[in-house]
Amino acid sequence: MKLFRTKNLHYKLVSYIFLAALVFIGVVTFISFRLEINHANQKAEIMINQLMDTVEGTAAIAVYANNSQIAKDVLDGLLRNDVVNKAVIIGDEGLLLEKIKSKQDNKKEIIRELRSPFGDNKSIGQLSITPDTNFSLSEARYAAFSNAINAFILIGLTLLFMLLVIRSLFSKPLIQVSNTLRNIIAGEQERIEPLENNKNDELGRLVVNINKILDLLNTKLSTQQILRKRVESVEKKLRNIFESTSAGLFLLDKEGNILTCTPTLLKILGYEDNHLIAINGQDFATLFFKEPLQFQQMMQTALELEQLEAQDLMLHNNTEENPLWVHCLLSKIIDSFGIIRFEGVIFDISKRIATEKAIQYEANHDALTGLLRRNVAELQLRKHLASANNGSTVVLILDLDGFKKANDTYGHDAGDSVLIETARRLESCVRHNDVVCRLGGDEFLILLFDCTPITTGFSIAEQIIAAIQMPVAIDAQVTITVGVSIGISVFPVHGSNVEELLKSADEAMYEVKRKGKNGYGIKNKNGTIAVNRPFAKK
Amino acid sequence: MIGNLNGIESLSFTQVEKIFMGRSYALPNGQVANPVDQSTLRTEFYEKLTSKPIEQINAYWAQIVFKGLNFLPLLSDDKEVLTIINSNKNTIGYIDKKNVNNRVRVLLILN
Repeated sequence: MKLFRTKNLHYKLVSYIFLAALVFIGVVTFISFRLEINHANQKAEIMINQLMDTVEGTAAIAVYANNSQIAKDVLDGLLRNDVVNKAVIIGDEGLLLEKIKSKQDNKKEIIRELRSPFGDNKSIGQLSITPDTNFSLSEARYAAFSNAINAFILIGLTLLFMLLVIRSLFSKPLIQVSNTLRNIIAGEQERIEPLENNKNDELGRLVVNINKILDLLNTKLSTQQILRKRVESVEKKLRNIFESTSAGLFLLDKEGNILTCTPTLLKILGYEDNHLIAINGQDFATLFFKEPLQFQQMMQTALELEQLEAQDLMLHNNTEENPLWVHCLLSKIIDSFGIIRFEGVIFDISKRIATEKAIQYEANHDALTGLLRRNVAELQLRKHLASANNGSTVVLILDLDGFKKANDTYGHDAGDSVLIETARRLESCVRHNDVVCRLGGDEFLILLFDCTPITTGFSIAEQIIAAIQMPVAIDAQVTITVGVSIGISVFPVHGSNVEELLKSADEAMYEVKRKGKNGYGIKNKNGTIAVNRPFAKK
Repeated sequence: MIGNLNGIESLSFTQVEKIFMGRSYALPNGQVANPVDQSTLRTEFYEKLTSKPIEQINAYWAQIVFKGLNFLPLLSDDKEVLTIINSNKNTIGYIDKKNVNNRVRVLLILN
């Protein structure tokens, strides 16, 4: 059965024919056996008749002479033939002799009348012979078998010849074509060589047709290649734009989940490229913005008003030190399937915001000491007074004692050092929420919010006086000691607005200066100013 | 064909043939025939009796004899035949018609 698994067509074909031939040979052998049996029977009959012809004379003599010895010889002679199984001689004078080889039945005996050898030629007895079944059987077997062998050999040889012919006429050219086809790379200008011996037959036409198909394929492939290259180049350009654009583009579904976005967007948002897939489907607003509500509001507006929304937004990883801001444009679109989506662009504006903040900071703070400028402090005070919990606000105006002299003596650098140190000490004396401001020169303003009881303001003032009068080391040789005069006003006792409070505090401060400096003063209810100099030598 | 006067009256052609060809020696009177040959008329007799050449008759007898039977006693001429028949009741033989005498009985005439 291995034969049937072979890949060669000609072996397969020949194998099938061989099998069929075996079946045919079997059938034909069976039929021929039947016929041969008949033939052998006829042959046996003929042979027996011939034998009878041979022995008839002698048998007749035996019968005529009533001689059992002769009859016995005749029968013995007959039985020596394969074709004879049983022979009987019957004479009318009482001779009866029978010889038998083996017990067999179903065979018709052949009877020959024995005639008198002399005179009237009358029947004087019978010679009967029964043919041997085995003879015809073996004859038939032999004939059928030799027929089968003949057929087998003939068919075998024919098949062998067929195999060779098929192989050379079909298989070889087919294999050649197949191998060439296998080695042909689609789209290459290659053809199957025309077959030498099969130019005009089916195989030749097959080659011609295959070549036609190859031509067609070639043309189509080259056309497709050109088209594909065009598409590729366009796609590449678009991809370059998409990937290299400084704008972060994104597409969201109606619920605000990310559908796709550019790598730039991820860089702006502080992610690496490989997060691209992971973030798809997530909520854009909560993923990126510090205040998602703002973005959701934008989406809502864009949805309702159907116009481009623009807003500066703070990113989720925004910090005071490293502000991260983006400018976001958002608009509603309806895609080709009629589904509502949002498309948007994000620009990194962190630098702008940082610059703006720096400018703001410079505008708000004193360049030398880093303290707030007067206008900012006044603004804060104004805001605070306007707010609901504005009670117990204490305003302190401070002026250094002896600063001008130190400045003149040791120079501006030394004076600046004193101012910086003073600012540091002032900030260390006040509470976290309090505001320290440089009004200009050696004048400072301190705002104490929620200062209850009011005497807390006084103790802070005393701490300040104690801190400031400590010597300031300029370098190894020089130390400078200054003092401070503080004027205090309390809201709403000394005024209901900024100007009144500052004026009252200012008056109190000047009163301290007049009374000997290095102390604090506050206006009494009767308009006089009480001065306290805790460190004055008594 | 002649026979003893005391023997049978006559014989048919077939009976003669049977007796001389060794097929049956029975006589019509129930006794066994005792046929005798003679060399002088042998050829003529058998040719007349069987219409077959003498060689065939000899061959036949050769077969029979070979298988254990005896030739018929062979006498030389009619005279000897006549003598034997005279003295034996059941002996039959053949002689030329012209030599027939009254001491024997003619059983059949072969022409």
